[in-house]
Order: sequence, then structure tokens, then C-alpha cells
Amino acid sequence: MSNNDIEFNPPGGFPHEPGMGEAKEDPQAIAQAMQRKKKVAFNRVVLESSTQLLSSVYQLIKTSQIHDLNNQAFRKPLEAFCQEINTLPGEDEFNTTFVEDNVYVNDTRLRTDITNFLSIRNLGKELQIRGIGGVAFRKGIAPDELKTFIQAFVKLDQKLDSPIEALRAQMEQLNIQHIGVESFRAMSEGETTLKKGDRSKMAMKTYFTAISSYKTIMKNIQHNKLDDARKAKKIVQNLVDLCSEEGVSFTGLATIKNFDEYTYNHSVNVCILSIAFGQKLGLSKKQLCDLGAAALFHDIGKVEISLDVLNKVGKFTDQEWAMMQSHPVLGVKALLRMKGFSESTIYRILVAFQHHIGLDGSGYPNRRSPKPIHFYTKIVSICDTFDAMTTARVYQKAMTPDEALRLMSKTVHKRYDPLLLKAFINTIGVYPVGTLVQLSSQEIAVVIETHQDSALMRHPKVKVAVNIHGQYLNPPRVVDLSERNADGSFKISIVKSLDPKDFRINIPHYVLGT
Amino acid sequence: MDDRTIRSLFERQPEKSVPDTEELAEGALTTEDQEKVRLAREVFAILVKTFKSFRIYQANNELLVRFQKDLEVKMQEFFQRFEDLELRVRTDTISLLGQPIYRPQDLNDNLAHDLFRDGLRRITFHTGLPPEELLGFLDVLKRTSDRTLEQDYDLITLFWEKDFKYITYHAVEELLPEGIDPKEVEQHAEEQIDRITTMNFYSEEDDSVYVEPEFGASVDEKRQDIFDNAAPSEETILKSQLVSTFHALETEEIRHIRREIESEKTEDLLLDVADTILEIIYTEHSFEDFEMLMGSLEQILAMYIALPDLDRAAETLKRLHFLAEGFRQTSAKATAVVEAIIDRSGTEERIAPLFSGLGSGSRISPTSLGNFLVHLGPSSIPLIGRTLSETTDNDMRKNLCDVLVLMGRRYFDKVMEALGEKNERDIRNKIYILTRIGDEKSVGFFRKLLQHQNAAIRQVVVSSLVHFYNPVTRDFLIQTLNDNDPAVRISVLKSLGQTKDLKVLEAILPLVREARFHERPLQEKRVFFSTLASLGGNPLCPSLGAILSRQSLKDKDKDDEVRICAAEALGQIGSPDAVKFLKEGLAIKRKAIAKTCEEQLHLIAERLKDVQ
Repeated sequence: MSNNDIEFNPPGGFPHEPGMGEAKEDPQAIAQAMQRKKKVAFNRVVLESSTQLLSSVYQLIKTSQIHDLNNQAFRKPLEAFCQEINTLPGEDEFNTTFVEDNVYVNDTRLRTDITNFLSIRNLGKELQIRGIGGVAFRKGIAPDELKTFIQAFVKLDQKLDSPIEALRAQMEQLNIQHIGVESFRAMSEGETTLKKGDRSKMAMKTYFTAISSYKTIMKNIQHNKLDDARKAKKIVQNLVDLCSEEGVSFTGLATIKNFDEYTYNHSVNVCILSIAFGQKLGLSKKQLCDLGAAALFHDIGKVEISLDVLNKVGKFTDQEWAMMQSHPVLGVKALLRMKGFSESTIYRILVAFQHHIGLDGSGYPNRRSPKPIHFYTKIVSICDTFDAMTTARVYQKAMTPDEALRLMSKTVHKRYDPLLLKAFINTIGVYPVGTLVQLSSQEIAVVIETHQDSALMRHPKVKVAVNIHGQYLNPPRVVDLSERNADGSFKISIVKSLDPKDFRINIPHYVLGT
Repeated sequence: MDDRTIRSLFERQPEKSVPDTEELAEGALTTEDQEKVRLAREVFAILVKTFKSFRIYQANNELLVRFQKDLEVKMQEFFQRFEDLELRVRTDTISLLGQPIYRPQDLNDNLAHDLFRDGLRRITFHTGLPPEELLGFLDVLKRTSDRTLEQDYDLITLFWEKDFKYITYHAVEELLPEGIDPKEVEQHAEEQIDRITTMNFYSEEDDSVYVEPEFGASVDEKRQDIFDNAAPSEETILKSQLVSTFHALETEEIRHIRREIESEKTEDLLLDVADTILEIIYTEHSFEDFEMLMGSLEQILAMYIALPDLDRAAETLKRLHFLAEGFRQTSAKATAVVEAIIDRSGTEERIAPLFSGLGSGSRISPTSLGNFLVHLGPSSIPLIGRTLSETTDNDMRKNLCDVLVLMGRRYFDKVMEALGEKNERDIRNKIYILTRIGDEKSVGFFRKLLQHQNAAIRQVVVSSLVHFYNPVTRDFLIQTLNDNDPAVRISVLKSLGQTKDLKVLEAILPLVREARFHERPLQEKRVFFSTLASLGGNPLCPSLGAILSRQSLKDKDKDDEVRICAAEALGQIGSPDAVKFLKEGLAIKRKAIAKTCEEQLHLIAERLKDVQ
């Protein structure tokens, strides 16, 4: 299997691939696309059970280190695993590959969430320390064959020059025919860059199209053209598809800020952060779509507030402040005026009305009989505040992402759900994508990717933008801060975050550019 | 993840109904392909048949279940022979290998047309398609064809949400909202992407201007200090960072979040939306907005009724009544709007479906229905009245009666009008309801019923009339003491006994003294005397004593009955005077009378003991 297969086989395709009318269809391309779909369809079925299967493999490895291999605690899951593999529909193989933080099953990237992430990550580590990058289980596998493999795997001497070769030799000797192992291979920088470049461009295109569409919808609402609910949903569906493909790195899009069109950019950014957060929490596709749409429309009431008030530098007059505080109510009214009423509308209304109400009932608008804050509102409130704090406005300087998180943590019990804020930080990391940092090497770098493992949260992947002499690097250099010295200490650490303005760094360039 | 591989950024051009240019002569296909097309036609014929049943019948309908089974079998047959079933969708045709496998004439009932209209161009059913996905597919078709989709849904969105794993598709869609130029969007996006990908830092002069980077260019002198200090220790770094206070989520915390996600119910949220709208209404100054908000509340209420979720519908109605009450003092206009919504929610069109499936096996509990109906406006009363007349379910009947009682207190005339009198059951319902409403306008109805041919009805009416006790109804009741049925007369006596009205005493004492009183049955005589005792009390003792001691020469047995009843009445009064007369009675030669006196004295003594 090549890595190309992994990267360029997104099940949903690129959401903004230009449309094909009937006249433009190329039969050969269509045939290829349909062939690809066929494979994808199978993969999606396998993916359903994949997280469970991978967790089972990890549990079997762990159990084999504690119990005798004839113990029921080992035997039962062993048999269940084999049965599951042997009854998988379609193709003959369950092929798992670990590439950096990502895991692929039969060439399709597996989505992990907070409930299954740990066991899958640990399995990856067990494989990696033995120099193994992937394992394939084939149909016909018997419990005794799997038991023999696990025995050999666990006893494998990790200090050997090539443990995987030793394991392969043993497997041949032990006549293990339905299991295969593949070498561990870190993706080269060139490969990463090339693929990420294409993906980033596609993602940015989706992002800017979403902004243009949202801006038009807002303007249409202003002019009482009210039938855009379906279009809005499609914008969000595209973003959900994108998030499924990109994982947490999808939040990198939210580093794009626009001073002039703050409300539109901010709404799309909050939508992006909310979808990524929701995905990490394990929400279904439909739930992500509802959450994303609610996030997109959370500030819709601002459409009726003049820009003079929205962008005012000085202190608000009482009247202006009342106007600002009315935007949740104006938002609900605008949403109610849009044609139709669906389940999605419910979430949009609740989020638009509640997103400035604190967990303790503080904030606005005033209510006669306070109700509990909806789960989606809690998510959107966190993402809303985070994006607002990290965006420069005429009246405020942008905070660095980690500063914003620190400040939010201080007021957490009053304003936000503490557990969700914690989960949010787990999602985007303590140094979220787009944070400008000074390294212990004295260099200045931009965080471009966070590790899903919370133990490595302080050690993301960065692009060094300025060297120790204070000179800009072009092109910037990618460094993974999770790399360690022989004694186990990290080679380079983050010293502190910095304000990109001080260094004139255009953050999205580093996060999204090639 | 769906397989919507191709989605247009641009407005979809109107599709022309052109002939399928790919359509080939069947003879151009290989024998194998011809066989494939033939089998696909069979699959689609069953699919269409199943779909038609799916639109009409409930999920457990025998016919539908059979069709579904047939469809599964036929699809399996196809998959086994030819693997995936890849179809192309045209304006009015579905084809395979250029051969139409489905092409009905009627565009109004044409699946291909429905699919094409929403942008679907190709669809593939993959080998292994499980029954639940097939069912999901039928559901999508049903919602699309029946045009029951909510505003922000279309076929492709439904496919996307269903997240099918064995059904993939290819669609063209319009994604951009009205009033936007796709070319401009594309160009704007390209410009923005270009700026991001090529420019990595800002100009020193102007924040908004990006400049090309040059290798070796240095950062602002003011910030050079950052490179002068020695690197801090790991410990110092940790102390200054958020990470020092941050921990990964625990398993229990993850479970807690999952529980919160899973515990949510859309129906509850709708009520939260209603409350949100109410919060806004309380502070609303614009009447136009007020009406719009009220319209949304009406929609929510209609949704609950249609579901039917009557508990929540009742909750919404309660809120509307509360709102109307609040406006009553301040705005007649607003009150009228709220009341109109309450009334519209009870129109026959809206609530008739609730009554159509009532009875055993109904998903609507009589209690929930009752709790809901009671909050409706007068427009609901005629249908409730008719349903009451027709129902044979006792629980339902009781609930509907209670509903009409409560509604009758607000809308008496409407209820009165809605209640039929076609049969005895109707009349009993009406008596029950009007009695509990307690409106004096019902008296005429009751009086009329005192002439009813069925004594049982007359008997019930008597018990009811006492609830409207006044000089007029008293006269009706006293007149009824001449009813030809003793059970009715006994009812009247018992009812009158509760009134403590001395006028009643004045009316019935002469009756006792009449010679023909002896002719009344013993039970009635007893009730007569018991009524006299409870109304007259001690002052009546001499009269009773006289009856006890008086001996008639005519019918001694009948006379004894009257004297025994007098003794029992004295025992009921139990006063010292009554005791005196009873003691005198001990000497009466007629044994049965003397014995009754003795028993009554004993009972009085026992009562006294209890009191002490």
C-alpha cells in the first residue's frame, strides 16, 4: 500500500470539486470514480467496526502480558476478534497503518474521538517501538494463529537492529499466514508538504466560499429574502466533510482573520472550531451539521446592528450597549423569519439566544425564568469567546491563543462549562494551531499541528519562522517538538507565546501555506 | 462519510429534458449485459412496488413486509450474479448500461423525476446492502416524493445525513445562495488563498499590506531583545504555562459528556424554544414582531399536536393562557392574538386526527388527551362533544366528561350545545357534565328530564338537582315525591334530607299524615321518617311520639310499619325527649314496635357511650 492511496482517497471526495453537469462528464473518469466509491463503500463498513477491533488488539496485547494465554480473559476476546475479522464483508483484509498521529484502515483514515483515542494511540506506540508501522489481518485467521502471533509480538526483543525482521522470521517459522506486518516509516517532509499543500488549498477554498455564502445569506436576510436555510446547511455540510478529512488540523482555518469583515469571518471560524470540537466529542455527522449551523448563525442578530456600533472604539453609550445586548434577541427573530422550521432551527434559536448567557446565569439577555443552557450553546460559547479573544479588533489587541485559553480557564466556573472547556483544550491543545511561540532554541515558530496525545500537548509540530539571529526563514523549517534526546528529555521546548504583530508574522501563511 | 464526490460551487443550470443520448439498442449489449439489464428491471419493479406500499402502510404491514423481503432477495440475486448495481438518473428515466430500467409516463408520480430534480445523477447499490439501509433509502424516497421535507432539507441532504455505507451517489447541486456571482466567489477565494500562500509577513509601514519575504530580513529592532536572553529552565517554562494546570480528560468525565449528549430530546428542546420566544415576547414593543413571534409559538403548538405529543402541547397551551392573562389588563389587541391562537389550535382540522385512533392500542393516553383538551378554546368543543357521544371506552368517556366540565365553566353555552341527547348514554353524560359545571342555566334541562320515561334517569336527575338547590328546584323535587317510582321518590327524599330546609319539612310532614301514606313501601316509609328526623330534629319528637303511640283499627300490619319507622326516627334524633317517647313505647303491646323501641334505646345508649 502506498501513502498516496491513503491521502488521496477521501471517502467524500473534496467537497468543493467543481460540479459536473451532464455534458461535462467523462465516462472514464466517472467509471474510475465509481470504482473508487465501491472500495470506499467497503471501507466505510469496515471502519464502523475498526475502532473496536483496534481497541481489541491493544487489549489482547495487554492481557497477554498479565494472564496465561489459556485464561478465559484472553481466550474469549481472542476468539471474538477472529470471528469479527472472518465475517467482515467484502475484501479479505483488515489492514491497519499508523502514520504519525493518524491511523488508516484499508487506506481510509480512521476518525477517533475521546472515547477510543487512547487505546488506539497506545496500540500505535506498541507497534512503533518494535519498528512496525502496520498490521494486516486476513480472513481465515484462527484463534491459535493469533495467539501465537501475539506471543511472538510481546516477546520480541525491541533492542534488535530490526525487530520487525526478527518478527517476520518467527512468523514464517511459526506458519502464521493470516497476519502481516509492515515497517514503520515516518512520512517524509516532502510527502507531507505536497499533500498538505493540495489539501490546504481545497480547505481554504471551502472556507472562503463559506464566508462569501454566509455574507450573502446575512445580506439576504437584511433584505427579507429568507429562503437560504438549505444553502446554509450545505455550507456546514461541506465544513463537516472537511473536518472529517482533516481532523484537528482543520481548526487551522480559524487562524484566518479578517479585520474588515469580522462578523462573517468570526461566524465561520466559530463554526469551524465548533465542528472540530464536536467531532472530538464524538458527535454524529447530523449532530455536527446541526451544531455547525447553530454556530454559524450565533451572531446573526448583529446583521441589524450598525457597523458604527459594532466597530466602535470608545465606550458604548447606554443606548449602544442596549443595542449590542439585543443581538441575541434580534438573532432569534431573524431565524424565525427564515422560511420553515426544522430540528436544526431549534438549535440555531437556542444558541443564538443563549450564547452570551453564562453558566451561572450571568450575561444577557435578561430572562424571567432562566432555563438550563443547551449543550451546543456551551460549545459555541467557548469557541465564540476563543475566536473573539484571538482576533484583533479596532478596540482590542488580539490575545495569543494560549493567553485566551488561560483567561477563559480563570473565569470558567462563572461563564463556561468547566468540563467542556477542558475538553476544548484537549481538542485544540494548550498551544493551539496558529500560536506564535519562542522556542528554547531561541527561535520563533508557529504551531502548525498539535498532537492528539495530551502528554504531548506542550510539544506540537511547529514551523520555525525566525532563526536565532532574528532573521526570517524562507521557506520556514518544520520541527516536531515531541522529538526527544537519548535521555528522554525533549530536544526543544516552547518557552512562551508571542504576539504575531510584534514580528509581523502572517500566521495563516505558516499554518495553511505550503 | 457520504460519497458526494461532485458538488458544484455554482448555480445549477436548469436541466433540460433531453433524450438519453447514451441509450443504446439492446442488441448492442452482450448477452451477459442484456441479462444484467433484465435482472435490474426486475429489481426496480419490486423496488417501486415496495416503495408504493412503504408510502401507504405502517412498517409492520404484512404486504409491505413481504415486498421488502422480495426486494432483498431480488437484490441479493443481482449482487451475486453481477455485483454492484450502478444506475444513472435522467429527468424521467433510470437506466443501466444505457438501457432504461424504469421510465413511467406520469411525471407526477415518477421516482426518477424526484431524484433528478434534487440533483442526483448516479446511484450505486453495493453488494452486501443490508435491509436497514434499504429501508433508509425508501424513507429518503418517501420524504422526497411526499414533499414532507422541512425547508432546509432536500434529497441530497437526506442522503448525507443518513450516511449510507452501501449506497453511494453522485449529485450536482447548487450550493451558493441567491444573489451571489459564482465567478466572483471563485476569484475572491483564489486571491485570498494566493495572499495566504505567498506572503508570510506584513509590511512595517502598513499592517494590512503583505510583502514578499526575503531570506535574511530581520525582525523589528525593538524585538531583538528576545534573542538576547538565555533560554529559561524547563521548570520556569512549566510554571508560566497553561499546561501546568491542565490535565487530560478522565474516563468518567468523558462518560459524563457522552451522557449529556445522549440524554437530549428534541421534543423538550422545542419547549425550550417556546420559552425563549415567550421571554422575547415579554419585552417586545413592536406589534408586528409580536405577531411574528406568536406565529412561531403557534407553529410549535401545531407541531406538538401533530406529533402527537399532548403533554408538551398542554404545557405550551398553559403558557399561552398565562400570556393572555398577563395581557388582559394591558392590551386587548395582544390578548385577542393569543386567544385566537389558543382557539385555532382546537379546530376540528387540527385535533380530529387525535380522536381517529382512540381506544385500545392507541398511543394517546386518555389522561394526556384530557389534560391537553382542557386548555383548548371553544372551537374544540363540538368535536369533543361528538367524540364523547361516540366513544365506548369508559376511561375516555370519563376523561372527556371531565374536560367538558372544565370547559363548560368557561364556555357554558358551547358545551350545552355540543352535548347530544340522542340516547340514554348521551343524557347521562350531559347530566354528569352539567351537574359539575353547576350553572343554573342547566335547571330547565333537568326539569325536563324529571319527566323522562326511564326511572333510572329521573333518579339521577334528582341527585343532580339538589346541587342547584333553590326555591324553584325545591318545588321540582317536592313535586317528584309523587313520582310513580319508589326508587325515584326515595332519591328525592334522600336529597332533600341533606338540605336542612324546614320548608321541606313543612312539605313532607303532611304527606306522612295522609291516610294513603300506609300504601308506600316500607323502604320508602323508612326514608320518609329518616328525612323528617334529620330535618326536624328534637322539635319533631312530639309528632313522632304521637305516631308511635297512635293505634289504627284498620290495617294493623301497615300501621305497625309506620309506628316502627317513627320509633326509628326517634332513635335517629336520640334526644332526651326522643328517649322519653321510646321508653313509653316499650309498653306498647305490639311486640315488633316495643322491640324496635328497645333496640333504638340501646343504640342511643351505645352512641352516648361512644361520645363519653
